[in-house]
Amino acid sequence: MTDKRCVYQEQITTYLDGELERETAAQFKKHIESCPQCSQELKEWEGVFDLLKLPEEEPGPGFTKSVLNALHRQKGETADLKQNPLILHDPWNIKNLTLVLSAIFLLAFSITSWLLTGAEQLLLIHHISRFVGIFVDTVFSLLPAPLAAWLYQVGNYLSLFADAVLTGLQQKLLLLLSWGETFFMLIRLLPPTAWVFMLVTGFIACLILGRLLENKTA
Amino acid sequence: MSKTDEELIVLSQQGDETAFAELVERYQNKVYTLAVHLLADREEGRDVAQEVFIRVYHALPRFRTDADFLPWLYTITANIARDRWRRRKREKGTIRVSLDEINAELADHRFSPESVLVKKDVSLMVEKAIASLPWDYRIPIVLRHSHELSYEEIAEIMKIPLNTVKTRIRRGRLLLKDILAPMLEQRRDS
Repeated sequence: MTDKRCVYQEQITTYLDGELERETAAQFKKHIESCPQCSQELKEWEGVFDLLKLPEEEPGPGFTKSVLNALHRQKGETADLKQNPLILHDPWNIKNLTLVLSAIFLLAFSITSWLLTGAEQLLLIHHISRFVGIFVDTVFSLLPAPLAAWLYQVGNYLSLFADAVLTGLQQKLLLLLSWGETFFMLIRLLPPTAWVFMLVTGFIACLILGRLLENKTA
Repeated sequence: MSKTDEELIVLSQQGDETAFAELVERYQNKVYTLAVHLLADREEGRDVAQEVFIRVYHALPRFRTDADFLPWLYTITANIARDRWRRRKREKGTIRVSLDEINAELADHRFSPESVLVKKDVSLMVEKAIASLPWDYRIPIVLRHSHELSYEEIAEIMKIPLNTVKTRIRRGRLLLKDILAPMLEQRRDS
């Protein structure tokens, strides 16, 4: 008895696959007749191959109809998307919406900064605060004296607190304003045509990028 | 006279739904069978087959009519089934069917009054055994044995070298031989 594995055993599955060349297959067949070890192994592999021949399955009735129905549903959804361009699950519309919101924010930020740095706005704030002061004094003069005194006291505390908060905020605001000033200085350095050119090229680049991303995800 | 695949594809590309329905009718069994054998789940196999034909419908305008349709269908089916398998694995954790589980089922049948496995049960257990293989071995094994494709065709469908296909099939078969050994033994005894 020998433990040595027969070299022909390596060829059994290739033989069953029909991938052995004619001559080699003939030699293999001849060997099988005389080698009980390979013959036994061949039988086992034939059993495995037989088990692995699984029958063809059918998806059941109405399969084609279900595929067509699913396609129709998809087409309906696509039509809805075309009719309502602001539906948020379309990535292209999300990009556009983001672009518009960014533009609005930038515009609002610029106008606010511009106005805050202007002297006219400070004068306006001064007038408003004076008007509010006169209004409050008039209302307090109409109230009973103890209540007015108490309200003045509370008002004083509140104004002290507000002063402290505003002083802190003012410092932060001044920092932001200095950034704003730098930003506007840069804007003023370039001629309007350069800005228009940059905006247009930026927008076109955004469109191209959007299309590329759309194709990639499709 | 029925139309050829090429004619049906051209008509479908032009938006003819009847032609596309005929294509689906013609290939639904092959696609469904592959999906079921890869996933060992009939319900999921049906979902996969449906998704395959929907994807095919959308991709048909880009399909070259001189190319073979069936290998293309097999590639799409294998890709979608692989995605499903991965998703299922993520959701449910590892779902490899263990050798013990299959052997336990076999033992149940061994002592059942009928004592012999009916053909349908055998197929189901073989499906489970195939589903216990690593994914890379499963596709070539199924394409080779259930669909009787050549190594070259499998290499083209899986877009891998021929030698890799041979190696995967050989390893997959060795694993399956071990898994199916009790079943083979029982068959011999009966």
